[in-house]
Amino acid sequence: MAARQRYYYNPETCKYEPVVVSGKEFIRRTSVFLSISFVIGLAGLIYFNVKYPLWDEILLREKNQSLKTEWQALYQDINAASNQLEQLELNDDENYRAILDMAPLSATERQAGVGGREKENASINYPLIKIAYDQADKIMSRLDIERQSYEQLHKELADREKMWSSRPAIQPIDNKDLTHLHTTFGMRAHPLLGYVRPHKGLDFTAPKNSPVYATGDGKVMNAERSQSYGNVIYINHGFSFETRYAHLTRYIVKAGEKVKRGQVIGYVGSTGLSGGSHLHYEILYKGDHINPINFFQRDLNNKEYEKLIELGGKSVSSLD
Amino acid sequence: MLRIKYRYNVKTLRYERVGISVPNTIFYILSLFVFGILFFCALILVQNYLINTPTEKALRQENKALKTHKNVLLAKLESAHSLIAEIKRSESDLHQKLFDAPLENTDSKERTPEMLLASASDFNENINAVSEKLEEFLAKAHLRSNHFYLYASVDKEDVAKVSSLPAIIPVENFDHGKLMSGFGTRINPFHKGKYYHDGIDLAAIRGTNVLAAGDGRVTLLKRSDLQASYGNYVEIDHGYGFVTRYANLGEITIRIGQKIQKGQAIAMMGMSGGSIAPHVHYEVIKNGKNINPVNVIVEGLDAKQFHKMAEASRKLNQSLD
Repeated sequence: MAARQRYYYNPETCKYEPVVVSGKEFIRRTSVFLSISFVIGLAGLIYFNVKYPLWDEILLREKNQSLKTEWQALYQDINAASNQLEQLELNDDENYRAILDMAPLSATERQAGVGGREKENASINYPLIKIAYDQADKIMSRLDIERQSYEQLHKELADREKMWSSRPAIQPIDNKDLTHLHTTFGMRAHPLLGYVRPHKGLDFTAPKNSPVYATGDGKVMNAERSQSYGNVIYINHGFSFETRYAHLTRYIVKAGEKVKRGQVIGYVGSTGLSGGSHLHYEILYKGDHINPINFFQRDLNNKEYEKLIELGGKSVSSLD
Repeated sequence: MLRIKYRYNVKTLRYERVGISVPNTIFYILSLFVFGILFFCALILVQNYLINTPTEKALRQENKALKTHKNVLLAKLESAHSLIAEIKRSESDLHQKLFDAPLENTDSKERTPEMLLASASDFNENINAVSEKLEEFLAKAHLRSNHFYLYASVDKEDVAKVSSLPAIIPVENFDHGKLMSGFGTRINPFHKGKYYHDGIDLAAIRGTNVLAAGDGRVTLLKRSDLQASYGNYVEIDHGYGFVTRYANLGEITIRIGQKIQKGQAIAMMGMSGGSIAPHVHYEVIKNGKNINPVNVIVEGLDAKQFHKMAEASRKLNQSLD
């Protein structure tokens, strides 16, 4: 300790006196020391800040990057949804609307309602988010329109199906009962009356009491006994189609009753102006008689025909 | 004010002057730096935790926005996907009702048939080139041997036959994937019973041009408002036993007896006759018998497309008439 003791020469006392560091002096020295080291530290900090980004910033940027990568995945999801939407729109326009003879939806119809959401999103400052929102909203509103469009297609199809099932499309007599089909439609000499008058339908010769089937869905307008037609059934199929089944031995439907295609409505007979047991079948379109020959499938085989009759028969029992 | 300092040397028993020693100075400077580093670290910490730079603030905000909006977007996308699934169900339901056949998954990989088929699109040109070559050759041969010339000649008609064959799809710009119903037993759209469909149904929007499948002459042309059977239809006799029939047409733009060239527009797509959709019912009749029209379509399709079409034509679905 003594070896470390410093002395100074005091000229007044002419003696070496030990150096005593006063408190003030000590503080002065320390503060000088600290200020210098602080300046060094500060210089280091400034240098560091200029040279390297802040540590905090680095962490934040890393986080930012990973979030942005997640958003890339979201964008991919948006793209996938968009592709599926486009496929649905394409199928709608090119397949279903073409088949159902409906005009494709125009671009403006498809874009309807997109603008509103875009305004809402305008307040978002981040393009990454804003664009994703805009795209997602656009997809949503287009999907909504597409859903409505498919609903419309379903509705249209249901209407068409009704039309298709209403149209006279089968033979009113089963092939196994049919003995002869007189395909004379138009002017011919009446077999009983002897003079020429138009024959407004087709004659299906079949044994008495063979079942007669409704050729399309419809409503029985009248089932009555008339002078010339004998027992006759009038069915209105809607869509401007009417059918008549004449010379029946009896009918088993009443006026106002709804019938299905393939349903038994009466039995073959020879009532009215008839020369033998047969069914006289007429089809009217917009009030005019047309040749029924075009309104049943000539090449429908027996098995298929039976199946159809069976289908019609089923709905009868359910109606009872 | 620097005072000269002395140290008492016990060995020499004298006060000796203390100079500025190098180790001391180094020690002093080092400690300055150590403290400097300590200050530096402290400052860094203070800066990190207490001071937020504008960049940091912006980043923090952005990260927060990215996090919160991600959840919102995820919810949106989820509802979009469930809506897509719903519409897809609706679509397959519609498809089933409309065609009486399930909707094929379009995502599934296409099957490539193990069969080689040449593209026949420029078949005609090749035939023409060959026939020219042949004529040239025959002219030369004629000079040498009359006998050879007589027996080796190729009739001009042999070449004409090629362009007469009903070889193209009789619809303008037809997408080969859009064949609606093929040849054979199909389901009748009106009564849903099976029947023999003796042609193919090619659907496209109204007003699309229906084309002649080969050179020929119009032998039959009928217009009918009747909502059953063929409606407006045209028959073209191509010669060599080939007749084609185009039914359920819209407006017919040709006359009876008119000479027709392959690819010429003969009518507009429509839905006359017994038809549930705008389409053309196309039949090919060879020597009085209906054959599968797909089998004679050799032009304008590559092998893959042909197979796709042939595949589609084999599906047992509902026809359009």
